[in-house]
Amino acid sequence: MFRTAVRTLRSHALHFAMSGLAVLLGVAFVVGSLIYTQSLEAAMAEARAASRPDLSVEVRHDFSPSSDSARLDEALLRRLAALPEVAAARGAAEGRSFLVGSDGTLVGSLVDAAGVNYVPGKGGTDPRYPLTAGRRPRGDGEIAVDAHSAERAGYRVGERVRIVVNGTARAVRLVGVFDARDERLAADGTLTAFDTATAQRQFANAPGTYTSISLTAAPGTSETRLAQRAQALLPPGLEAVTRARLDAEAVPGEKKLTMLLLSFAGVALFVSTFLIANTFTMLSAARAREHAILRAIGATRSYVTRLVLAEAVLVGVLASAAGYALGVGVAAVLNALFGATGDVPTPLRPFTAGPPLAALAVGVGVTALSAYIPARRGAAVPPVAALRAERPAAVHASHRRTVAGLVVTGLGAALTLVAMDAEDLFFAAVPVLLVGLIMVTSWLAERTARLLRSPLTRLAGVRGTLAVENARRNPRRTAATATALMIGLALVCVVTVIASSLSRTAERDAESSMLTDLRVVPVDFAEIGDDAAGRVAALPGAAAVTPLVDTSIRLTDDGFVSAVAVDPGAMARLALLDVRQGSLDGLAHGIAVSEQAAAAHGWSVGSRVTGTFVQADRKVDLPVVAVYSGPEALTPALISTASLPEASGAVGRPSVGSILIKAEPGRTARLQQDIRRTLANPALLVQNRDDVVKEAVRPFAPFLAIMYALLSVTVLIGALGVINTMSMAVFERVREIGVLRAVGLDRRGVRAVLRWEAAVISLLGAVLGLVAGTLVGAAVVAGHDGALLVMPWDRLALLFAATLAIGVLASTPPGRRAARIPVLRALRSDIE
Amino acid sequence: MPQTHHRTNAAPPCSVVAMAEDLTKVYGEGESRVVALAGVSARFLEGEFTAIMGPSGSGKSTFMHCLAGLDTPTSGTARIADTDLGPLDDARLTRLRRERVGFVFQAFNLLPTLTALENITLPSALAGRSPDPEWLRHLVETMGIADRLDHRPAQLSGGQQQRVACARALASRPAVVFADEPTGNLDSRSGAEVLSLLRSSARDLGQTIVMVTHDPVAAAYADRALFLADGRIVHEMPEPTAAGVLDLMKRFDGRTPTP
Ligand SMILES: Nc1ncnc2c1ncn2[C@@H]1O[C@H](COP(=O)(O)OP(=O)(O)O)[C@@H](O)[C@H]1O
Ligand SMILES: [Mg+2]
Repeated sequence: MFRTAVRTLRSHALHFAMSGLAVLLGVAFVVGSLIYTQSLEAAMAEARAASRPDLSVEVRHDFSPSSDSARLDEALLRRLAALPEVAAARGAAEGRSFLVGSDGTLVGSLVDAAGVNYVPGKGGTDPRYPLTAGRRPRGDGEIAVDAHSAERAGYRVGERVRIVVNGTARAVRLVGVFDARDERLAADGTLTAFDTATAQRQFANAPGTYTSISLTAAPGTSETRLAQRAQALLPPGLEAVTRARLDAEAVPGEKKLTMLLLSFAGVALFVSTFLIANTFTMLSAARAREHAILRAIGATRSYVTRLVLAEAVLVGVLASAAGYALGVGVAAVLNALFGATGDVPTPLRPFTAGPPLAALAVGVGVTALSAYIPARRGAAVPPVAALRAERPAAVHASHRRTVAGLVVTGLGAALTLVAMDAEDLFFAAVPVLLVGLIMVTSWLAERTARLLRSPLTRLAGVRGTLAVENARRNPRRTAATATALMIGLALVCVVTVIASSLSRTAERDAESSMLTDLRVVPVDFAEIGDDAAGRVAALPGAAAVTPLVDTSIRLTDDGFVSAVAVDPGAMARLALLDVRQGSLDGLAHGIAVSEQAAAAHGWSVGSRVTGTFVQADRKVDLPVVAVYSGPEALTPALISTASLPEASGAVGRPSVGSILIKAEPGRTARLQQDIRRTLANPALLVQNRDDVVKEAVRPFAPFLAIMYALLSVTVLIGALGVINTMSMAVFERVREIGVLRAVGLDRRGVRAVLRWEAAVISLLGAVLGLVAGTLVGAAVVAGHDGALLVMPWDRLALLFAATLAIGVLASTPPGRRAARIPVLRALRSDIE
Repeated sequence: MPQTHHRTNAAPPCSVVAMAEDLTKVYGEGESRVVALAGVSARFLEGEFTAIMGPSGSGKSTFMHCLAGLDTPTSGTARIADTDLGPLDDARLTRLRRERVGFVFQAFNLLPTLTALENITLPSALAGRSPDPEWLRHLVETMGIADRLDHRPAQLSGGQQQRVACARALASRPAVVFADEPTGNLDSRSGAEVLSLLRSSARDLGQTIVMVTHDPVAAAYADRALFLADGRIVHEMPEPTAAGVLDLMKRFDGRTPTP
């Protein structure tokens, strides 16, 4: 049987080529995604394992309410170290610390920019961080950094370097460079080591305490046992966690990426199924005679089915093998695409068992599954068909299927509308809508073609008529081809509408949140130092400067109120508020509340707000001095920064979210430069109005680019579908092409007829895709609270036109082939 | 039927409409070399209905294809209405076929997606012209398909399809109509209808027709018959009759051609 299949494959190689190529692309996508994400996971796991080889159990805050007052101090460390199950105990004081490179920018990935304490062991070095140059840091003016970061930052031992800790940049001396194996380095972060006292001051929430304690189990003690013993010694608010649990907790960000990539690969494969089904349907029809002869001489139906499936399996195997090879390349592309921020690319491991197996399963599975129905239908030819010369008529849209399709489409549309209030429903609504559309497409194909007949005839003469009629001939095939294009365009439109709307929303929010000429905000994962506002206010040209500190008050009579702490004097000068009652004069020793908050809590000027600050657990008791209405960033209540609790340590204190700055008239640009120079902190952005808007929309363009890149595979397969369909059309209509050539259609005309036919198919796909994609995208945005709906018509029109163009262009190779067929050979062809 | 339609763009009576001069056609090389035409010369006059006869493989189709601009001869000249086909490129040949030549094939070869009327007007539509409505009406009435114009080929009988094909060949008033075994796929009654239509087109409308056939009965409808054997014209018979043709073929070949 496989020998027969191989022979068929050889003689119809060109017809299987597109199916094979589509599967190949889908498989390559799957394999690439798997190799890349698995390599990423493996690299992380390895780094994690190597990162703290001596860690068996970690003692840490458990983030319960009593966690704030629990102390990870020296006494606890000594008690834990004294346990017989503990071989070694080490106190860690770690937090965020950015390294400013010699070019003035922050080094590495900011999420993983860590400050650690250097714990000298025997011989004065920390076994985790063996020094390769210089010596260990001492005092708050010295640091050591890992070798890779030092090299990237362009620093050598002995140089003065800048770091940013707790929102403030400062100069320190780099006294040592060490080697380290650490998961944070694997994730493109940096390690800056301080002596323990400095690290504690910077990172721990009370003087002389640690942020965690790591324990090494004595030989023969299990992690679990050690954790139990340690837990018994701990005060409430602390917990002992085994290494196994820590590793499991390590947020598997890669899993999400895997799912994302695989779902895009899945869409691409789904689109390929249409192409494969088209191919096998066409070949079954072309070989109906052959199959009928087989049946006539005694082959069973299932034999014929298996014969066709064997071809599918063969195509699947070949495509999977090639797809796997290409997948290794795709993994490298993904590595470059997603790892673009870091300069340490993840080493790829293409030769694990998973990806090849997945390739084979997916490739063969998809091909065989898509070929199954055509195979069954092909085997259903009655043996008498062998005696009839003509090929069986194409299957036309069945009425039942169309009605069912309309119902499903309606259901999908309804679900989409409902999903505007319940976003999770979109994951059900979109597939239902697509399935419905797929079911009605053959009917639509017939309809569209009929509708287009006379306009196209007027436009392109009899060439147009022929094209439309040809597109109508096999509505199922036209529909399947259009569907493949539709799915690609629909998804592209969905992400385009969503991204444009969210981008515009971000722009609007940024504009409305920008209350003053200038502002200072921290980059992601960074913060603003407490002294920054004061330093800015001292600059000439600064008319009014206030920090905004978000805090929250737990009210005595139940409930919470958020309050923004500001500089009262500056607030008055900024004149951003519309005071309805009372005055801001007393804000230094009182609280101003918004009208809504006043109404909600029954406050008016003179009433008292009592409770505790959530972050610091300190009492508040302030009189209401004013009721106002103002911009959202300054609601629902304002207090003075002087009323804030003193910082009790590095953790949990309310921090400055941003600094608002009003410049003297005409001094804005100068002032912006001065602030930058004064703060000299690359972790802080000093923005004017334009900068704010630009910063707000910055992430959308790359996001959209990545989405387009991922969806391009689907669109490409859609285009392959058009090539495939047009090739099959040429193959089936050689004789007709011969007649047309004989009675006076020139080569250009042959190409034109095929081009117009491809245009009709693409138009159907493009219209459906545009409508479905735009509607779903609009519904998603409408369902998103507070999002502005923006229809990027120009871009949608471009995408629509591009889809049409791709479809029409895809008809070029088959068109060229058709035009080259010699008239006489075409006339003699016995295929009709 | 009286001759009511005068050909406006035709050459004067008795002029040569198509001509072959020493046409040869060789297929393949070496072992597989086949000489399909070994120097054929012939003239076809306006309004003349010629049958090309000969046993299977004698080169009838090849001759017709070379003369009609569907194939290029290895040597020799083919002319249609004063145009030498030799130097024409594909686009010009296509235009010539569209404007000066009509075809009727054995397998009908109508476009299945077009209606009968659209099939008939296809060549002029391809040329971007609309056919003379008078002429068209006359043609479809003559062919007896006036009430079938909206039907697709699949809805027509074989005879009807071939009459549509004849109408298509005649619609653009070509210089010459080539018909390759036009009755090969028809029963004898439909075949006879088609043949008389072709004959009356020649007699009444002045249409030059060249018909390839190996059927002596079909040849009897023609004004003359040319006999091909092994790529050469071996005999010319004016006013052929079925009996005469059969007789001649027996004499040449020692056997009756397979019908
Ligand atoms: N494309 C071709 N390649 C090779 N030989 C051919 C080709 N076409 C025709 N022939 C040969 O040329 C000869 C004449 O063929 P043809 O003109 O079709 O004969 P007829 O129409 O009289 O039966 C035959 O021997 C045939 O085998
Ligand atoms: Mg022949």
